[in-house]
Amino acid sequence: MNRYQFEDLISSYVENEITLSKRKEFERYMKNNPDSVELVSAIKNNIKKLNQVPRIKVKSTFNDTLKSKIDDLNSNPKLGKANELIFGFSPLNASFLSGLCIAFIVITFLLINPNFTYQQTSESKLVNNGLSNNFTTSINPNEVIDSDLADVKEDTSKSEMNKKDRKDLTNKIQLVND
Amino acid sequence: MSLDKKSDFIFTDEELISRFQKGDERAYVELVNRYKDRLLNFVFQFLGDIEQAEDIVQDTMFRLYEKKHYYKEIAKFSTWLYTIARNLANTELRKRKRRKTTYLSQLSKERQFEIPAIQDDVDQSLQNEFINDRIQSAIDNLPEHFKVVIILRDIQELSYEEISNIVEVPLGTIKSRINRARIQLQAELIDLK
Repeated sequence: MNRYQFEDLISSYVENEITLSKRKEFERYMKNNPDSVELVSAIKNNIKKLNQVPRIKVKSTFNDTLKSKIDDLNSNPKLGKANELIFGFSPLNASFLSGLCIAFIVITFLLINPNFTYQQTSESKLVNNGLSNNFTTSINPNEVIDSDLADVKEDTSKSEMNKKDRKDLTNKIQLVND
Repeated sequence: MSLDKKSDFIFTDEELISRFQKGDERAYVELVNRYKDRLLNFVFQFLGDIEQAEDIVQDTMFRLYEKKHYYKEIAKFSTWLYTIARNLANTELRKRKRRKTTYLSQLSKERQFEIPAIQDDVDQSLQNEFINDRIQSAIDNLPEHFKVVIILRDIQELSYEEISNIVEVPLGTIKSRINRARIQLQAELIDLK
């Protein structure tokens, strides 16, 4: 048995929780090392002293103070509930943490979809410039309001086609004349 | 409910808490009377401040009242109650560290001890007081994980199993810690015969 093994067994030896073979080995070590006998007896003495440390007692008003706390709790049960934990957090911390979570989710969403922000801002700019009607029309050309149709005096698409035709004819006439 | 009634309960702690959970407040009174001094001694060794120690014991007993249904009979009642007190004491210690306040108990660490001359007329109570101060100081100087186990084992005289449950550390580690704490304590108290 070396010094480390001896020291590891001191408490077991003092408390008689050591096997017979180990006890013999332990005592053999003590016989060969007189300082170890002193150590064991000093530890035994210290344990005795610790056991004899004077015990203190609570104040005589202890029970009264406790009773008044309990009476407060019984008369106002909300007092107790206020201190209850939400998933292990105090109500204040829980609300702060949930706020952080929401902010985290929003920021993550915006980082994943950068276009989302762009579309939103460009749309809002158009609205501000009063171009929202044109924007809507260009997106959905089939959605034409009846009141708008009433103001149109002629079919603009047909007149444009006629202009093109006329242009071509003029050129042809010129070529013939030349 | 009166907390001052002396009762003749011969029930175990577990039977008492079971009765209290069913609404018998006399059982609560008995539990408070059984444990208030024991817990005070335990917490006082931790904090070194009797006023704060008593506040912690108050809070422990209040939580026992408030959270009685949290106790399940898978562990000993004493273990459960000591765990509550220990957690509250730890919280107080953490608060202290944050405040960096110097307490009297900490001042006592810096105090130089002088061994009084042994004379025939030395008052025995003074001698005992000196020894107790030295022991308290030596315990205070132990690392936290040694301190708690030595208090629970050698002052509170709890079993290794109970200590293991309170500290939530395996039994073998507890035995080893207690052994090491005793050796370290002996080194601190080497001049004390």
